This record gives sequence, structure tokens and C-alpha cells, in this order.
Amino acid sequence: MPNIVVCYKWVINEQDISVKEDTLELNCSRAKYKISDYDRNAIEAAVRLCEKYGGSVRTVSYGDENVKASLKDALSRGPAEAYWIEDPSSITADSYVTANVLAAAIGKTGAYDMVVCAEGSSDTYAQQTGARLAALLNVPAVTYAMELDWQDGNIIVKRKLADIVEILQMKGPVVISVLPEICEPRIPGLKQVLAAGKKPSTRLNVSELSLSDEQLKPKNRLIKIKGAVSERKHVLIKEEDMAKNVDKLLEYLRVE
Amino acid sequence: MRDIWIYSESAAVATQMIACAGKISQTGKLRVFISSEDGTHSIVRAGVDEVTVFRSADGRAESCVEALSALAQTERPLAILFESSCSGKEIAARCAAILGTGLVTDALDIRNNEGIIETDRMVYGGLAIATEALSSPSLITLAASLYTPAAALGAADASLRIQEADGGSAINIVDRLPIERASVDLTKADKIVCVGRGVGKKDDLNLIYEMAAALGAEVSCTRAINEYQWFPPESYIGISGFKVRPSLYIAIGVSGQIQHLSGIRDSKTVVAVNNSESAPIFASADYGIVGDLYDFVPCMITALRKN
Ligand SMILES: Cc1cc2nc3c(=O)[nH]c(=O)nc-3n(C[C@H](O)[C@H](O)[C@H](O)COP(=O)(O)OP(=O)(O)OC[C@H]3O[C@@H](n4cnc5c(N)ncnc54)[C@H](O)[C@@H]3O)c2cc1C
Repeated sequence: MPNIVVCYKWVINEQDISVKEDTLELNCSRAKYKISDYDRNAIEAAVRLCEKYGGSVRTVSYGDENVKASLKDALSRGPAEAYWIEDPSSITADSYVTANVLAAAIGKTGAYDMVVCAEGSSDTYAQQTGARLAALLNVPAVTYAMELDWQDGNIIVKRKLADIVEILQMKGPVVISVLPEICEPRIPGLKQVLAAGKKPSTRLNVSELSLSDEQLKPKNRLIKIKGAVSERKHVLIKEEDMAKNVDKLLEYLRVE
Repeated sequence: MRDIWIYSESAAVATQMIACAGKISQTGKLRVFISSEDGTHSIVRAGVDEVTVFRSADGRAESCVEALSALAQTERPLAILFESSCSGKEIAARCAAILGTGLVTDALDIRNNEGIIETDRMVYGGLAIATEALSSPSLITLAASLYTPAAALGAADASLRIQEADGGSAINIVDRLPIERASVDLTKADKIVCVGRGVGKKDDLNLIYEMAAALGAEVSCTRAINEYQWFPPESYIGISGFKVRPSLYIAIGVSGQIQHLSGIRDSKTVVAVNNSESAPIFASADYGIVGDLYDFVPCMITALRKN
């Protein structure tokens, strides 16, 4: 029976960020948090595997003071148990720091067959965490998985590359990062949300993880961040009669 | 001076990356690592100092991670530039973890600021560009848009080495199935019709293709549609797909999430058709038609054929 750890990131919703027109600064003050889009597919993939073959799923997340608010959402998606590391170091963390913290935390949660990550997060989309974790945990890495199965203790993965699909087979422990096409995430119902409140969750402190100061210091230093804008004409055509709309559009395009 | 290394899976991309490395190299050596033997004759003449071909027993490009990171551990190059392919990104991330260093994926620009490597890359789905200063060795995967054909330098031949790379990995390769790639180069298309999830089923694509033919446009899709596998794999537009720059781009039933919009930013004219007036695509369009795509497309075909 597969024993799975899923890592997810609690990120600000990029759709709530606005760009100040004159300075191109980002305004995140109204932004709400969410479980990073593709992490939901990763949780779903792990949960479905265990619904089919038994076993258990636990989640691990590293974030700032807001991360605790993610537990209910994460657990309502099917995992049995959640671990979280709340630490201000996460605010400036790059993939180097994040992987150091997650690898140490995963070690604290017990034995596993698979660590499942998503392809990339919706905020930085660095696509590094899964592969870095494999190196730090000293287990094989499988990235860009589009299908995942478990057959008598063997893990079978369909991995999608640019011009080839690899069918890979291995025994755990292994780190797998999955593409969103692996499965559609569920929308948790009221019952699942209520049940989530009763599931166990454990806070891990960075101080328990035996990491050096160096391992918590980012290697990539952010110099600046600027909004990207493009000028558009914003002409809206909305007549009742579609043929008229099309004529208008073609007229506009003729003078472009 | 410290060296710049390049890792690539193909000679064609390697030669383009060599041009890019020129932006940050000072007087150090330029060294190329490649996981395919095809075409290496073109790289040895491309003005580099050394070319190493990784030959792996299991045929997986990823098998070079141990060898490459061990070399980097002892020789400490200033930077290693990786091809931004799926394997390239995995290799880069694992090397970065082994070396205990940073990595910037999909860099849009790289600079050498007095020995410190700086990069620009998209964040928040392309809503913003982050500029970062990297620690050393600086590991970077280069966004495909940075690859421009390099001029042949015709310098003296670089030395060529073959190195066995054995991942010693516990991964069994059961099968390898080639996938059919789209034959059109979307990045060079002059007109593009993009299909989003507003198009309800695969059969409806026929209508879209008819309109595209009347327009002389290529057809592409959003990543959400890519997941349905109606199109050849990875032929979608956006931050994780193609960045396009057509003179005309028409979005049909596309909501216009930022991850998609960051792929069409360089289009000259953007047209959007969506039945929801609040769809974000309208804020990024020159001309928006609020209405049902199933009304729009047939009308458009008729009008185009009349003209
Ligand atoms: C890390 C990450 C990377 C991503 N990378 C990409 C990327 O590279 N490219 C990309 O495209 N996406 C990407 N996405 C996904 C992106 O966020 C959106 O989910 C996706 O672009 C939405 O696709 P869509 O517009 O086809 O579908 P939807 O968002 O479902 O939009 C469908 C639209 O069709 C309209 N519609 C429905 N019926 C009709 C009708 N009859 N007539 C007219 N309009 C109709 C609806 O109003 C709606 O606006 C990424 C997401 C993440 C998290």
C-alpha cells in the first residue's frame, strides 16, 4: 500500500494582484491565498492512488504566518494528516531554501514510498522543488509525470517530455513531480470540509529540522520586481446581431 | 577568470546558447556539455574551448547529473547555462541541490554585473518580471526566446571528449514512445486563432479550422485545452508554452488568465470572443466581441468568404 507525502504551497492568488500603472509596482494588499493551482492536482493524484490501493497520504507545507489557514483546504481534499512549517524565512525563500526545509521536514514525518509535488507553483513557477528534493533525500527523481500507478509495490509512471513519452518503473522511495493532466482536482463538499477539521495536523518548527543558518539563506537575491503591461485598444463590440459585430470587427482589422 | 558552462541536449540549441553565453562571459573558458553525439562537429567550431559528450548507458539524459555536478564541484565555473527543456530543468535542479546553490529557470535575460550574474524572469504567471542576483556557481535555464542562431565563428576546433555517464539510478525504463509534434512553428505564425475551453467539444474544432483557413491562420490552444489532448502535445500558448508574436491573434472562448496572456503579449492585434463580458481577456484585447462563439465563428466564415 502506497505511503505518500504531498508537498503543496500556500500562495497569494495572482489574480488579486494589481499593477500600479505609473510605477509598475505590484499591489498585493487585496490578495487572498490559495493552494497553488497544480498542487491541487498533485494532492488529488496521491489521494486517488490511495483510494484505489489503500495506504495513506500526508501533506507538508512551508510558509509564513498564513500557512496554517491552508490546512483545512488541504485536508478536505482527502489526505489523512497535515504537517506545516510556519517560519518567516519562507518570505524570502528561494527554491534552495524551500527544498532544504521540505526535505528535512519530510524526514521528520516518517517513512514514505513517494513524495509527490506538482510541476511548478503558480507564483514563481520555478519547477525545481521536486527534483531538488530527490537530490537532497538521495532518492530517484521522476519529473513531468502525466500518469501514476501502483502495481504490487512497483510504481509505474508515464513521463511526458518534448518529443517522447517514457514509461518508467521503480520501487520507492522516490520523488515524483506531476503535470496537471494527471487528474482533475476535486471540489471539496461541505462534508469533506467538516471532516477536515477533525483530522490531525502537526506544526514542525524550523529549529527542530537541524538546518544551518546557511541552509536557510536564499541563494537568489531579489533585486526588484516590476509589473509587465501591454497597451491595448480595448474596443468592445456588442451588438445584438452577430453579423454586424463581425462586419465591424473586419472593418477595424482592415485599418490595422 | 572563471568559466561558463553550457548544457544542452542538441547541437542546434547548444550553438544558440553559445551566443547567449557571450553576454556574460569575460575572459574565462567556454565549455559545452551535450547529451547527444549528433552534430557535435558544428559545436567544436562554434568558438568554444571544450566539448564533452555525455554517453549514458540507459539513454536517459538525466543520467549525467552525478558526473556534471561532480565536475562543477571541483572546477567551480562562474555559471552553468542549461537548455530549458523538461530534462534540462530536472538536471539543473538536481545539480543545484547537489552543489547547494541557486537556480533560475526560464531566464528571459542574463547579465554579468561585475562578476555577479543577474537574471530577469516572469513571476505570478507573467504578471511581473523579477530581477535576481545569483550566488555562485550561478545555475540558469534559458527561456527558449533567448535562443537566436549564432554566427559561425570558424575558430579553431575545440577539444572533444566523450564521458560515460551512469546515473546508477533505480529507475527502469519500460518503454519509450515517440510523440507526434505539431509541424507548424507557432512562434513564426503571422495569424493565430486560439481555442479555449469555451469550445465545448473536439468536433467543434472543425468549425474553428474552417475559419482559420479562411483567415490564413494557424490554430493553437490554451493549456486547459492542451490537457484534453485535442491537439499535438505542448502546442499551447502561454507562460509554460509558446510565446507568440503574430500580427493578428484571435482568442475564441479563452478566459484570458495571466498565464495565457503572458504568451501573447508581443502580438500586434489581439481580438477576443467571449460570451462573458467580465472575462479578463477583454482587458488585454484590442477588439472584443461579447457573444457566443458558436454564433461568431459561422458569421466570420461567411463574411471572410464574401470578401
Ligand atoms: C503554473 C501555471 C502555468 C500555466 N501556464 C499556462 C499556459 O502556458 N497557457 C495557458 O493557456 N494557461 C496556462 N495556465 C492555466 C491558466 O491559468 C488558465 O487556467 C487557462 O489558460 C484557462 O484556459 P481557457 O481560457 O481555455 O479556459 P477557461 O478559463 O475555462 O475559459 C473559458 C472561457 O470561455 C468562455 N466561454 C464559454 N462558453 C463560451 C461560448 N459559447 N462562447 C464564447 N465564450 C465562451 C467563458 O466565458 C470563459 O471565459 C497555467 C496555470 C498555472 C497554475
